[in-house]
Amino acid sequence: MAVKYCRSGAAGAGTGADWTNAYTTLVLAIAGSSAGDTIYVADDHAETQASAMTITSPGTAGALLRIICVNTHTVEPPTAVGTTATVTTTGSFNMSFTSGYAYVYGITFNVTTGASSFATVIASGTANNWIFDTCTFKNLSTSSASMKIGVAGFTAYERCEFINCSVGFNSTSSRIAVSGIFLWRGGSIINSGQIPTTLFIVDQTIPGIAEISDVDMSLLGSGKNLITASVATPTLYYLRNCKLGASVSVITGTIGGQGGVSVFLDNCDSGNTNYRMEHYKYQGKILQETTIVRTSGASDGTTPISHKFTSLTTGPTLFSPLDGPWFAIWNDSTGSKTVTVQFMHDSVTNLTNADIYLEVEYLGTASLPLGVLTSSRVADIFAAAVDCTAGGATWTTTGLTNPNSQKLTLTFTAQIKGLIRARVCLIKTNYTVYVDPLLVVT
Amino acid sequence: MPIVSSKIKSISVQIDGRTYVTEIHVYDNGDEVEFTYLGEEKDDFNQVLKERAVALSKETKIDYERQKVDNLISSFDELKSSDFQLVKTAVDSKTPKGIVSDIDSIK
Repeated sequence: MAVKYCRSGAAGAGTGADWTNAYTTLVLAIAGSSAGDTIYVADDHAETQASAMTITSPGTAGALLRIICVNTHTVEPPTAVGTTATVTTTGSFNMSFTSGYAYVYGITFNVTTGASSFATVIASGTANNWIFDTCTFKNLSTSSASMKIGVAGFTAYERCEFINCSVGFNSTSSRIAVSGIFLWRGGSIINSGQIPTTLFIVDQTIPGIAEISDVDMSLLGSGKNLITASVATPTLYYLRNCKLGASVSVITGTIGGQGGVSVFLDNCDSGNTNYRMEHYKYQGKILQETTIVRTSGASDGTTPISHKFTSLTTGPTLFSPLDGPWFAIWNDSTGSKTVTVQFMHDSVTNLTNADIYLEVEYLGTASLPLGVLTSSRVADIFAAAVDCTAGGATWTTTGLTNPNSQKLTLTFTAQIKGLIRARVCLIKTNYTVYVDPLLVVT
Repeated sequence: MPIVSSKIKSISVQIDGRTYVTEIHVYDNGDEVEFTYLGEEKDDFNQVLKERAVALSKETKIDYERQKVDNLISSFDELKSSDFQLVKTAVDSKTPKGIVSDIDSIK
């Protein structure tokens, strides 16, 4: 658990023992460190390297290497963090954070001023967890240089976390290529010359999970896209509580199969709302709707809301529907319960339980939290479909030619108190349904 | 691949005045790509459609070139040292010395 010092302007022995004898580069400082050590990086550290920079941490899962920018280059030991250190590669040279475990605070990484296929590569070695806190990545190449996260393979324990980090690019073709586990909490996309046309893409071969919350992505506006969806690699994107650019398209490209990209965007917007949601899957998309809504249905307290399900022509099937988000409600008593969900569609022909159904998960096992899943779907491929019940609800039906209100109901016996979860699943292809996400339990 | 046709598939005005717009663009090989965005009241949706069509044509050209480079790099990665030696020997007997030196440096 030793302390090391790193300062580009140091002119001493380079032992890392103090500011005078500090290591002059981050790579040297890390080479002289062990798992659990702390490297203090000076506030005026400004390191430039005209060759590829590979940073491998000696840290372990239980003892991360800590690389901390501090607000001094004189006080020993430092007493406060800083955010002014810079590490730069010039020319066509990548900066790679490979194997090992590390926490990095307060450093700006300026990467690659020349042409390079990937400028910043993070979590590319086996067994790694790179956590960057209050750092900035400026990918400065004018070619299509990207930030690539997690590239080593399926068994590599790849994880990268950004906390209050900013990322910028200098080419419209640049993007963040995600695989492995990528968490980004707080921060923003900044303008380092150009704004990418599309921000995220999946690495071509390795599945990933990207969880992005509290990030300001508002620089990507009209004509820009957040995610490339037409990639065959299974990847889940969760975007929550983010600021978006006006008129940005969430996805570009067609999702090729159920095992491809899925996007769950919740409460992200460019405007003053708290209800926007957009989910994209192979089977179709589900967007929030504020015009065609049920009277006395779901609302954020001010704005009535429904969920607009739009299935694709080649999307859902009986056993692979366009499944909506789960709604949960606390159930405070046992016994027989009936869950009802209202929906609206534009046809005189009723939808049947082979077109749309309700799925409910309830606590149906006495003395255990073992859930039971029940469904209003037609039982199997041989069973006759039955019309869903008439809804009898009042909806705003602006633009609909043949508004048809129907409802989905399920009755079951709750054995213990707890959450009841329900979701609507749309089987009918190339069709639009408006669902009131207000569960009614009686 | 150029875009050969583009159209607005649907528009849906929301209570705050913004509009969900879904566009469809068709490549010259028949592939379709759909875009959905929540447009502002001031947006000219037809202009957005046109600009996206132009950008898509340009983007696919860039992706095509990028793929060619990636494939080239992959093919080099797959070559073993012995392959390099065979290439070098073959080229060595037929080319000026400078080019052989270049091959050595690639290796």
